[in-house]
Amino acid sequence: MIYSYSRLSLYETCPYRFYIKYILGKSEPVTKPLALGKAVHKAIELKINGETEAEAIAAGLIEADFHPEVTGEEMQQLLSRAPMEVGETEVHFQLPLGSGISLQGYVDWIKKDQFKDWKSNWRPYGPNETWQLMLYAWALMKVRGLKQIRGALYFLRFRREEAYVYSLLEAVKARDWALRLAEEIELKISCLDSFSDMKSFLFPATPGSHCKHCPFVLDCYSY
Amino acid sequence: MSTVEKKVLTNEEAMKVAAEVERLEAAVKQMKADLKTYVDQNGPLQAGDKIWNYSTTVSWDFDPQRLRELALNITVEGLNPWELLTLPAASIKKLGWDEAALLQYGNKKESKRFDSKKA
Ligand code: SF4
Repeated sequence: MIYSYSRLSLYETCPYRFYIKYILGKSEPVTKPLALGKAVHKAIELKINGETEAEAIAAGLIEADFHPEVTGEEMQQLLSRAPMEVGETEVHFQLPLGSGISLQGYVDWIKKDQFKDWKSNWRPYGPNETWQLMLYAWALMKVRGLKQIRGALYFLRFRREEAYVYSLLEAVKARDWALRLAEEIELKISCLDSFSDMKSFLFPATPGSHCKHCPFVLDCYSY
Repeated sequence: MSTVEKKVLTNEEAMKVAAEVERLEAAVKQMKADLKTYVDQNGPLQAGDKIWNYSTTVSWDFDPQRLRELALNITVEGLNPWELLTLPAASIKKLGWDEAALLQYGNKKESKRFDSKKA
């Protein structure tokens, strides 16, 4: 399995949801926040690269498969709040994490030793409240041979930037977090091959406030 | 005859129960959504002594310009309009008056509600 921040973070939040999604391969319905995020990212990317606003919004709506809850109006609002800075957009990275495990991700915007992740969330949060920014910082420093990088979460609704300057030494903590979880998952997957009835022990359901947004709640509850 | 003893949770048990309530509430919400889809497609469902179906709630939006007239007509009916027309909490908040100002017109009533909210 190739790991990404979202996979690891899902496993950390609830191993059972991770199991249903990534091991059983059950698909999750595309919720409005997911579809809107996808649409807005596409639109910002195109606008930075010279497309007109109307074209960018249209391409965003297509990207989100015309999700019924995603409107051109809301997209236009978010697009108008995006920082239109020249840089590389939607940059893919894939690199070894260690122990034969690979990490991949997409960076929304990068220029020299700075990168940004655009967020359409309703609640802004600090740069190190999750491991995402630090993990991306580690990956980009590795891939681009940098010793330091400035990472930022840009909350479109609030035009607010939460930034942090990472050193390689510091960002390695996020790599360690990712590697520890990925190794744990790999080990559990190999156990599952021999003891398939141990799935609830290996990937336990971990209820909490996150259940509110879990599409597998009925499988989980009746299980 | 033995009585059922009321359970007092330890902190660890309370944390588990709180997390489980989150899962159950999410499950109930999903189950009700599924029932709603069923009723949308098949009509009302009688399950045991209950019927699952839509019910209509009625509320009225009065034109602020005509409230005076409404109050007057209530008086004509022989009733005190001010016993019927109340200020909802949201309107009082909108007014922005402090407690001292509001106390001149009435008494403060407080009730406690048990629920969880974001920390
Ligand atoms: S309902 Fe909650 S505990 Fe169950 S799989 Fe989903 S997130 Fe995990």
